[in-house]
This record gives sequence, structure tokens and C-alpha cells, in this order.
Amino acid sequence: MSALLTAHIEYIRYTDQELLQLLSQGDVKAFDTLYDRYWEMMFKKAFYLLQDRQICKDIVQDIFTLIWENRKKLQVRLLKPYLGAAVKFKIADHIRSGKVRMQFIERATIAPTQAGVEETAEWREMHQILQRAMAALPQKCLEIFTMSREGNLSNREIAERLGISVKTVENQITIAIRKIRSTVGPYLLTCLIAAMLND
Amino acid sequence: MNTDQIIQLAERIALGMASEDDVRLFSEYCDAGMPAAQLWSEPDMGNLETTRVEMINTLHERITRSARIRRLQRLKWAAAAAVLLFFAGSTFYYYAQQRGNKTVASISPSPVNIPPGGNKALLTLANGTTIVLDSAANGLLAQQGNSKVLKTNNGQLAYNTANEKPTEVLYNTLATPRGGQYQLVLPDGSKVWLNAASSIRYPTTFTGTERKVEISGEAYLEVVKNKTMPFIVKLGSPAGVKGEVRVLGTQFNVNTYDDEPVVKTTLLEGAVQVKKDAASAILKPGQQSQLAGTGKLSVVNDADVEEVMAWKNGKMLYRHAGIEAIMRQAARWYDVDVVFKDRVEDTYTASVPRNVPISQLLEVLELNSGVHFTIEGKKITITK
Repeated sequence: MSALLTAHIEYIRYTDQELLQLLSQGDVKAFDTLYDRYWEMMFKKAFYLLQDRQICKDIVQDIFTLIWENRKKLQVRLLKPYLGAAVKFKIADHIRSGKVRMQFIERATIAPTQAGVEETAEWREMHQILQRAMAALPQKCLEIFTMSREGNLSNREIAERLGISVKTVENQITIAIRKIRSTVGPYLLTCLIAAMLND
Repeated sequence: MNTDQIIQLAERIALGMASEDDVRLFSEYCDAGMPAAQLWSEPDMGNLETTRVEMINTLHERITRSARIRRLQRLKWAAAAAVLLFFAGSTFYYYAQQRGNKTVASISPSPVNIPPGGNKALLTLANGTTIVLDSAANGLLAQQGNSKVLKTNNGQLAYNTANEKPTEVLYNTLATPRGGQYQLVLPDGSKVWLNAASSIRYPTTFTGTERKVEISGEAYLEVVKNKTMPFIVKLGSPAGVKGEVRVLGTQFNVNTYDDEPVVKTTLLEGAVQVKKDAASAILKPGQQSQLAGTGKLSVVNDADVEEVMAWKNGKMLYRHAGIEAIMRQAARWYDVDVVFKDRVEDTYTASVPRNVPISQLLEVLELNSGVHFTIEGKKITITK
């Protein structure tokens, strides 16, 4: 059990939603309390897969920084799965950049377990985040991107179906990826959180 | 799934290219790597408490770096009781706002955010020719008699005079608009930083027994020492109407805006004498002279030099400043008009970089008070 910041003892009784409400008004104590509540869970989640202390610290710090920066726009229904989803996105990003691939592979090759309630909530959050990011794409671009993503179609197959050139398909997919990532910055998450909230 | 497929899965997630099935699968892979009861393992993960503290400290640093508001609760209670009583009303009002369930009004999304000022100025030569400095290319701008006028860099102007005796003295004026700022190196090497809505009139070469310039608005000067030629700054327009500052070699800031209640000269280094008609004062470093409209000249010890110099250092810094004073400065830097619909008594302590759009400054001010800003084009309306 991690030590508590005793200065904020009166905040412990608040629910996540109440703390988020206070946070949106710039209440740093609410921020600290949320941090206290979840930092360890997030760190361990990342560490078991990546085995790198500094990267895990970066992940937790980056997520909380984004939460602070977007505190006014934040509209999260369930904070715990949301934070879990955020950590998983960050993990994916670090795998992509190459540093911790072997560690992840060693641990993730265990056959996937049956998802329980909490785990389900997390991947559903991830999916929602992606959905919102994509909703910002222009119509045609979104259509092509979705076909590529969901239908496992090759670019040629998509081109044939839509009656456009393969080059166009490739361009649109590139644009879509760039837009989704660009709203974000170096890590997907930035944008995802912002996209999450403009409801 | 083999190794490559798993990596590709992770990449699709990172790129936003993942389908719902992808997301579910990746999430399950992640879950598979974690035991049900996760214990903190110090040999692997490090010291629990140290990690917790390091991260929260970094987070706090990041929070205070972007915008800092020191709340009135940190007012030193040892301060004069009179001050305490005066503030008591607004302090409790402050807290009533914070504790109550009243949500702080947020800035209504504005289609156009107002950008900060930049390096802009207009140079008027002795013969009346004007040169817009924002767009001028670097290099030689003009030659006047023996003097070369050079744009050395973005936002900087310099004068090079050949060492021959000049035939006549020519005057130039450098003026910044609202939303502008500029730097100038005078013919003697003295440096001048001009804030927004300010101007300096100066000769292209210094001759005679005195170096004289005329300044209106706000400027910071670093004057090169020359015992045989004291440097004199005439304040206000027409020249000298707000007094003058005599220096030998020194660093100081003058603030002579018409809409500010007093004319302020703040000395950082060296020595200056401030004069207005019969009144005069000699300043030591750290002191500030204040000239009121009545003609009364007073000297303040331990002036808040950091606050005075913030503009030159690229910041907007306020310590216990009233919102009207803050908005007067903002109006000049962002070139906006400010209208107060309600009276706002609170004072603010905040630090914001100068090169940000106005919304960031307003956000900082709104954060812990009931003040509401509405932006319409270039007009900012303030209500409670």
C-alpha cells in the first residue's frame, strides 16, 4: 500500500468523479489525490510488460501531465479503465519505437487469458478513444481508412471497390494516419484525450 | 500469433490503425503479462516511496511552469494588519468561490485566438523617410551622412558611425506599435529595448557635451559609461513633459505610458538622477522613482525589479497586481481593447511567457477567480 500524502486527507473520501470535477477547476490537491490513487497501478501495469523503470516513469508522468493540461475539457466516465487504456496506448507506442520489444514479447506471448470485467472495460475505452479520433477525419478519408483497417483489404482491393486509383487509396490512408497522430504529438495519447472529450 | 505479428499489432495500435478486434487482442496480451495480485517489487522497480515522490515532484514542476498562481492564502500573515484587513474581504470572497459548487466560467471558444506581439517597429529617418522594420531584410537599411543604419537581426537595429566629425546632427525616431517590440543599439553602443506602443527619438551620432534621447512609452536601457558625456533621457511626449533621467553609465527601465498613473524609473545598476521641474531624486540600484500627475516625485526602495523587467525577459509577471493594471499591459502587447463591465477587486500573482496567445493569459487569470472574459474580435469584456 503506497504512502498517502497526509496533507490531503480530507480529499480521500471523494469519488473519482468528484475529484475530476475539482480538478477541472484547477484544484491541485484533487490532482494529487488522483495521482496517489492510481500511479502505482499504472506503473506496475507498464513495468510488468516493459521492465524499464525510466520508461514506466515517463509513461505515468506523461499521462498525468496530459490530464492536468486537459483538465477543463476532461469528461471521463470511468477513470480507472481510462487510465489503464492510456497506459496500454503508451505501451504500444514504446513498442513501436523499438526499445522494449523483446521484453514485451517475452511477456505477452503467453496465450491471451479470458478477459474479466475490468479488462473488458479497458479495451472498450481504447476502442472508444480511437473511434473519436477517427470521427474527426473527412468523410472519404475515413471511409478508405476504415476499409483498410477493419476489412483487412489490400489497397488494390479497396481501390477496385471504390473505383479510384491505388495511389489515391495509399495517400488517403497516409493522410488519415498523419491526422490521427498529428493531433497528438509524439504520442497518440495527447490527441486521444482531447478527441475523447469534445462531446 | 508469432513475434512479428505481435509487433505489427502493437504498431497498428500506436498508429490508430487498429480494428476493434485488434484493440481487444492487444489489450488481452497486455493483461496476460500481468499477474492477478500485483505487488511492488523493490529490486526490480526501485524504491516505492522514492518513485512516487520523484514523479509527483516532476508533475508539480510541470504544472507550475505553465502557469503559476500563488493564491492569497500565502500572503504573509505577518504583514501589516491594515493590509490584512483590506484584503480580508476579497480573500474570503476568493475562497467562497473556490469552495462552493459554483463552477468557474470558462472562456467561450473563440474562432480566432489573439496572438502575442512580436518584433515590429517603424523607423523614421531625419529626412522623413519611413522604414517598416518587421519586413525589412537584414543588413544596411540607410545611410545618413556618416552613419549607417543596420538591421542586424530579427528585432534589432544598430548604428555605425564613421569616426569623422559629422557635419550635422540628424535625428531618427524608432516607434513600436501596439503588439510590437524592438531593440536598438545607439551610436555610442548603448542598448535600448522598446516595449509595445513606445518610441525613442535619438541622434544618429552623439556630439557635444551630452547624449540626449527622448522616450515615450516603456524602454529598458543599458547605457555605456562616458564620464565626459552624461546620458540624458527626456521622458514623455512632447519631450521632457514627464521629466528626465540623467545617467553616467547604467542599466534602468523607464515606464512613461500615458494611461499609467505614475511615471516609473527603476534602476538596476549604476546611478541615475531623475528630475521633473524642481523635483529631483538620485536613485541607487534597486530603487524606483515614481512621478505622479501632481508633480510629486517619490522614491521606492527594494522595487520589484523582476516584475519591472519581466517584459524585457520575455515574460508577463505580476505580483499582487490589480486586474486593471494587468489588462492595460495586455492591451498594449496584444493590441486589444479592454472593457470592464464589473469592478474586480482581486489581486493576482502570476507568471506567463510573453509569446503565447492571449487565451493562455486569460485562462491563468480565470483559473482561481470568478472573472469571466469574453473575446469578440479585438475586444475583451470582463465580467464577474
